[in-house]
Amino acid sequence: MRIRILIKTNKIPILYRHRVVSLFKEALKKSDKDYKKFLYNGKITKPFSFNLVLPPNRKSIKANIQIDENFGIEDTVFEIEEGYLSLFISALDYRFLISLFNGLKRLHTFDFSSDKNMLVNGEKLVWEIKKVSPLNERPIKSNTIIFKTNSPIIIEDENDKPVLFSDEKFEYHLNEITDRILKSPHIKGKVLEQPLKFEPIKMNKQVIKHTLKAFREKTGKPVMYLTGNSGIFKLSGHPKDLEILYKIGIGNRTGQGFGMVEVLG
Amino acid sequence: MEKVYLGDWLYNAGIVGFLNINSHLWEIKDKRLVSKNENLLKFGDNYIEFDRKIFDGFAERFFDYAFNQYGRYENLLKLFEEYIEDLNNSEDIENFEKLNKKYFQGKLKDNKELEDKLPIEIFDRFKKILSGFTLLKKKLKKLPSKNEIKKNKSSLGESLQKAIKIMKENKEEFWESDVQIYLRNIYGQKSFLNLSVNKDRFKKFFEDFEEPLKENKVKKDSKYYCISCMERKAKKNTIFDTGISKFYGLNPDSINFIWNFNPKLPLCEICEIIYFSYFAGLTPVKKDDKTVYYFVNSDSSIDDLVRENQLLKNILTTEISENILLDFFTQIILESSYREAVYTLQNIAVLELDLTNETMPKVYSFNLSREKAQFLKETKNKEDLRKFSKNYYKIKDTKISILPEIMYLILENKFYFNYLNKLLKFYIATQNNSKNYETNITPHQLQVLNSLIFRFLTNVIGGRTMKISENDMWTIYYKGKGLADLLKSKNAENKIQSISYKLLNALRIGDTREFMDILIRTYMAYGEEIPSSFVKTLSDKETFYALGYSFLNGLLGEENQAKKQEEVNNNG
Repeated sequence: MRIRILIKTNKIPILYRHRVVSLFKEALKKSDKDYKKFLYNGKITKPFSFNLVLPPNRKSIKANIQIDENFGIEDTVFEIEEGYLSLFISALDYRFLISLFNGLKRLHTFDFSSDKNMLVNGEKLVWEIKKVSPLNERPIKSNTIIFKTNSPIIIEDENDKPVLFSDEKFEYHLNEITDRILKSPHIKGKVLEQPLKFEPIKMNKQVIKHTLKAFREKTGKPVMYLTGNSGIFKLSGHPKDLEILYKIGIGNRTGQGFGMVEVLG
Repeated sequence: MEKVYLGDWLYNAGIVGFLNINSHLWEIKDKRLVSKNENLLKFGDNYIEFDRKIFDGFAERFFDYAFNQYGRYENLLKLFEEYIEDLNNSEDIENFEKLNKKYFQGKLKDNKELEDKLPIEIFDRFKKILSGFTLLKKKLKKLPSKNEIKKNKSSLGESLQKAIKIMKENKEEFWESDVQIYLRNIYGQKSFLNLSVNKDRFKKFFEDFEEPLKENKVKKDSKYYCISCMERKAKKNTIFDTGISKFYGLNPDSINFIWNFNPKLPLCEICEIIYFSYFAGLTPVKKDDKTVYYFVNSDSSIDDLVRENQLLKNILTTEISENILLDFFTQIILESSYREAVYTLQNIAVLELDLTNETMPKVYSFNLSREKAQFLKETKNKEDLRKFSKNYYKIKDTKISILPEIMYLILENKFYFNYLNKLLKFYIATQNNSKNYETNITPHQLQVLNSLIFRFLTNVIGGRTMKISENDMWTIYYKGKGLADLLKSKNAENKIQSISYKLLNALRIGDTREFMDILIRTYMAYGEEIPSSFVKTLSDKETFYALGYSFLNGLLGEENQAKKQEEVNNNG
């Protein structure tokens, strides 16, 4: 199932994904603590992915983004005066959706910035949760689907190196990763019914700036650069598997807002 | 004094029957069987003892008992009188609805039609009764034709009057004949039941049984002792057809099964009359338009045996008024199953006999599992089941009572959520004023049914560990009610119908995702928190059904109905 969360705010820095994750954690903490623990205390594939859409009439400026106590960078911030953001979420697990929705209801507002983190030019940003609405999903019944990425797909090899759609080993790694993900008991509990076949139609390479606390502590760098794949492609496989991928997203880091896809045509 | 000990179930039924025929000689006092005249009848632990004087007047008591148990004579007298009354009342427009319903399932348009059709309908019914009642038919001689009745309605009334008169004037003859018809069905063609005996049947019984028993004049076999009691000398030349033959498959027609082709078997006259009385030990119960007979074979003592059967009889045959109430019959089914459960738990055998089959009566000994018996005996379950005694559903013109259907499903291990789905479909159809379906069940009752199914699955079927409790189910039920209230407060009451219908469909095909989709969409659309217990529905099908139906029942909550009714009343 897919939902859309309408958020009111006036600015958003280019580094936002980790804060969306925090929003989820906050909401889940309010409605279903056990489930929050299950999802976030340990490395577990998230049964969902998300995608934040900025309004077209945004203005991009350069501003100082205070990531945390130790790191601050100068980077892009979008100004969306009187504007709204749409956070789209696709999930396989109803427990996630129910708990998230109930949590957001109780939350009303979310502090995008705290006293020391994620300040933009020293200003604290707040998200106002305006509305949560359900969206229609396309039923998947055939073996081949044309997908369009809503957020870039990240495929990494065994050494955590990015693999591009143009790489001949892309399909191999895509299958490896998907098998690993589907095997999780809370996703499907079983590997792919048949191998996936990937055919790019109109794909591009895209580099995304992202940050995570663990990354900063480990590397001493404020920002990581992830190489992703976005655009339109054809994916073939068993409809059952395609449907799961449609719901949870494709590739690595889906829980951090990567790999969400939409059915085209 | 003659002693009669407890034996096989048929013999025990005979003892109970023998005592019932002689019911003037004993009573139950402080839950004990007490003789009123110890010179005639005494009770031992596992035997009864009586003097042969007990047979004085036995023939008449025997006939009376059979006559009453058959009950045809009295019932028909009443029915004929009813026919006459209805014919007389048919012109009165006030009675239109009642008579239209009683005879034509409410299909007639107006009183004119009723006046034309009622005499023909009653005439047809009357003729049908006569075709199974030769004695009355013969005595009535000629009946008016349909044309005559069309021209002159009173000719039918006169015929009915005549029938009543004949029955009353010849009561004795009808008494004899009905007893013969009734018992012949049960025993075959022994003595006065023989087809060739068509008059003085009572006299024949008196001469064959009462007199020789009373006077101890029965001729004895020189060699053999009775195979039943092993105490008394066998009666001379007894052919083994004293009612027991049907159960044991022995009669003169099947002599090729018997050693030396000799169907004579040694049985004493006392054991014979005991076997011959077994019909009076059975409790007739109407079930699915036919009569079946119950017997409890509690064979630990005479006292238990008589008291348990008495109890069963009291429960199962309370006043049957002429207008048979639906809930009475459906409750009987519940009570019989309940008693059966109690006996099963006490390790007592209950038998059901179908005597309508002419060649071979069928005996069903019930086989309830301990868990099922426990389930039926549980007070809460019984109370809950009783709540359905007046419920029905209708498909076109066929009306089906819900309680017997539930009992059948329980006994057959088929009590599951799909039954709930069916009833909900009828309920929603009724709300939409459907022409084809109708039911008087309420969402609250449906929720009680849901609980019952849940209990049945967890306690009887077993092997299922449910992650939810009945409390969870009722919580969700009230959440459903809450959503209905919310929709009403937002002037979206019309949405309840469409949402319920979609939920019902999702439940029917067991589609959890569809169900959750509808639910989440609805709650999101109205900005309300989604009941978190729904997360549990995803764990397995049974939990999904139990909670899903709870929610749906709540959503359909009867306040809707009550409110609607109020509106209808207010609007005239």
